[in-house]
Amino acid sequence: MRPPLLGRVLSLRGIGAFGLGCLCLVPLVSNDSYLVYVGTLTAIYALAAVGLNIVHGFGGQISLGHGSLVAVGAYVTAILTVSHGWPVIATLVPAMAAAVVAAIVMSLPSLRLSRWTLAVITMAFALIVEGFLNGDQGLTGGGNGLVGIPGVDFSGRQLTSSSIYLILLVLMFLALFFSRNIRRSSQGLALIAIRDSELVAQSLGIGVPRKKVWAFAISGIPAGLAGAMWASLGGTVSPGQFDISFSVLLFLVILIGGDGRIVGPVLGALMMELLPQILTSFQQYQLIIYAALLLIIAILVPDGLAGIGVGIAGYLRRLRASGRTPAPAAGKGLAEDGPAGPATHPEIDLAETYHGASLAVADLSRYFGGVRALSRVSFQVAAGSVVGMIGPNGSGKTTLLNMISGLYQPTAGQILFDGEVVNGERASARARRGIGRTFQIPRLLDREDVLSNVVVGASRLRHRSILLWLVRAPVVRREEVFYRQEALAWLGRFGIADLWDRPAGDLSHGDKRTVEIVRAMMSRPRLLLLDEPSSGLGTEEVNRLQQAIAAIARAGVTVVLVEHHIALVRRVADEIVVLDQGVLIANGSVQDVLTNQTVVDAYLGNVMSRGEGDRVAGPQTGTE
Amino acid sequence: MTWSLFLQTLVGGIAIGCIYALAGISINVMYRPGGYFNFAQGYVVLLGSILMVVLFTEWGWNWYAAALAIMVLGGILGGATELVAIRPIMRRRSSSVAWVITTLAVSLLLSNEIGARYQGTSATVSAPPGLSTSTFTLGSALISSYDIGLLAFVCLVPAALWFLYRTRHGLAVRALAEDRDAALLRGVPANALTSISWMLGGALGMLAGVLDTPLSSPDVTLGFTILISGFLAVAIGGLGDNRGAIIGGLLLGCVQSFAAIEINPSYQNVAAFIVFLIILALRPRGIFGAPVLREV
Repeated sequence: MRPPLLGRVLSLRGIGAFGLGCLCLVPLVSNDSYLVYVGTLTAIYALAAVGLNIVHGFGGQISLGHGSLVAVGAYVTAILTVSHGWPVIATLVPAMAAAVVAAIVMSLPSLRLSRWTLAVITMAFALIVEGFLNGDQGLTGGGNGLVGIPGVDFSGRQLTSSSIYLILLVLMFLALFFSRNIRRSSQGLALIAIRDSELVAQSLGIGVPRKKVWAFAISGIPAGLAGAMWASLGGTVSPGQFDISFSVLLFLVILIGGDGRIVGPVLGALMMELLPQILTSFQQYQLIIYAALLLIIAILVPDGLAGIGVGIAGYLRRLRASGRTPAPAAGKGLAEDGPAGPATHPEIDLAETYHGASLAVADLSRYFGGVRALSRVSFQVAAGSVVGMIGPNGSGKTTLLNMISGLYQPTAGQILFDGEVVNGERASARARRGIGRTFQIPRLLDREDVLSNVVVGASRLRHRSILLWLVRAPVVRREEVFYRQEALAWLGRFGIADLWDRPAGDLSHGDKRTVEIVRAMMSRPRLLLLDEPSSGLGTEEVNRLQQAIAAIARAGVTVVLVEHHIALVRRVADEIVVLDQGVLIANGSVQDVLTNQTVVDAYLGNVMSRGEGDRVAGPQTGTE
Repeated sequence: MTWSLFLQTLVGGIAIGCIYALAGISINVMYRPGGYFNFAQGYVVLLGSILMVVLFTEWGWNWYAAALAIMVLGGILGGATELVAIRPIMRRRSSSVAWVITTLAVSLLLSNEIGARYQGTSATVSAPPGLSTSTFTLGSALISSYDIGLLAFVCLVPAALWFLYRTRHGLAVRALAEDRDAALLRGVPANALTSISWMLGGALGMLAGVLDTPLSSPDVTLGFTILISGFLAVAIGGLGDNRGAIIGGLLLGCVQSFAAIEINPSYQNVAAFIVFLIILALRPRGIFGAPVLREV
């Protein structure tokens, strides 16, 4: 059910949108040509920044060279109109295409670089584009640039500055609308997973490098368009317009406006454009005040201007919610998008959905420098069984898990998944085969709600066509509802459905673990690797975990459980593998292994006499 | 290209490369304790150059006294930047990227101030007493005693830092870089060490500017270019490694100066960037960069 129309209009978001709309109309109503000019420039900045918001706000990639994409768009329009006599309208598509190509080139180093390095490298890219613009006299006019770019004309008539402003407003809001739809698409969710943890993204089968390039490429479209319109508006282009300060300005626009917020680029552009105008009355202190204000905003409002609005909205919601019954409002989140929002959810047909696969490792070794973390380990896991893996800290359990999931490559030996050799495949490729995992310390998308954190697990199964997502076609909306319902069903099965709208960062440790397991289940794993899921849990939570693992096993998923909690392993595992100092020392049925004298000496000690429920600390301590 | 032109270009490249190396080392020093650096560092270097012109050429100070005073100022500026622009943000959310904005704001502030007050002179500064920029022939190369002194001095800096990082406090900085949480638990005074590192970084950055003045007159438009060159030097050598910064800086300087002679001065950054990309493809973490062993 949607909230009543009046309520929606009077909501904070509605008021904000209305205010923004009114502000946009001021230049038109006032008919002041200077205001129209300022408004147009603000819209161009916002349009250019929308793409950067996708790259950085959603994908977490820092680009300090975004201005060069605008430059590419502007110069394509300038060259085509001035040197080849094209009308401006005809140059828009080539300008966008060229900016996309430039964006892809700029993104390539991002595949191998850490975040801060990328920030400076994109800056260097902007420097290089500037170098080309300055250096090529024939094509770009060198340092003087190109002059005489015509205005936008439509069937022979030059458009007035007011109509150009209107067109830019429409383009800007269209770009915002599309960026909102990207944000809510499976693609957008995948980008957010990359932003918050690339390891998680890989473990869910998201091709991280491809997705990064994709985000940059998309960001080129509005940037190129903004460049083309700017060139036509000013009538000239020169390299000085697009120096690094411009790229830096665009980055500040999205950070000041609200990083990753849909309206962030507009608020930021307003701030960055209006602030200097207001400050002109301070004369020579203008720039100092300007920079000081930037500092103050960044320190006091770390989430940007849009973040203030979100903060107020959250406060109001908490005020209202204090009187509300904590019902698992399952329908509420779904109803916003989908045709139906049932509070009850259909049970998933587990036997239909999940198919366990076998795993075999043969002579697997891994050295870190001179350290033998794992040495010639071999064992097999039958499809649909639960295998517990135990051993002291530093015995190589997590290393083994990381090699099975593809984060490390083995030094020697083979890994067979479902009878096929998967050595050498990336983690994301293995995740797409059906190897799911959780992490020793839960890794969630802390700023997203629990439902999104679970739905992101299904990334590898979902529609990839961004065009369908851009218009939110019925087919992708149905799909979205389907996965949200499945997510709620799993959350309900694990008893935390009522947490669906909480930010994941606010959850208790135990709930985070559960969300992580549910997320892994959403990817339809055929083999699930659990890395010490009981660590940090209380007795009650361990019991819940035990039921969860049992449910997963009943669904037919093969489970490898790395644990120190022997009682838990005893209750859920079919077989046990014991590692000690990188070597497999025992492998077999639960009873056999736990009474095996070698195992008792190496790991269990006298724990058996102390009874069930005791947690075993490794005889030797190591960093894990 | 004749042999003597080749050598000339090489000498020029090494000289400017020394400046990049020192700028890169200053970035390394700031980066080490907290994992963040100053995007205004290019303008800090530039400010060092301009102050040198003012103090030495216009006010007639002694060369070494001027350099020392500027380094002290650089230390104050670096420490103040960290105190005002970084610490308040890191206190709130340590994973925040807001330090990028705030140091960029500092860079806007510096560039605007420099642009407003310094009209640009063609004045160069002479070499420090004892050295000279007038060239003599060595083999078939024209070289000055300042070039040699500069290279020797810049190579000494990592050695000095090596000893510094082996003192008690230096060890604590390395501990912070290795495992911040563990170091904090052992009572390492992170704030004080970060402050000191940023002061040192500021002083070294300004020193890079000072040492550049006998080579060329300051160009107020080059702030970000210097930052990028310093950072590329570091990225080529391996982030955090000072020997690497020297190798990276010298390589970068030479590539730029050959590209400027052989192709077109506008393309010298293009050439430097291509070399960087090639090295990156071969060694993603730079020449001396250590691979990350454990992620999970």
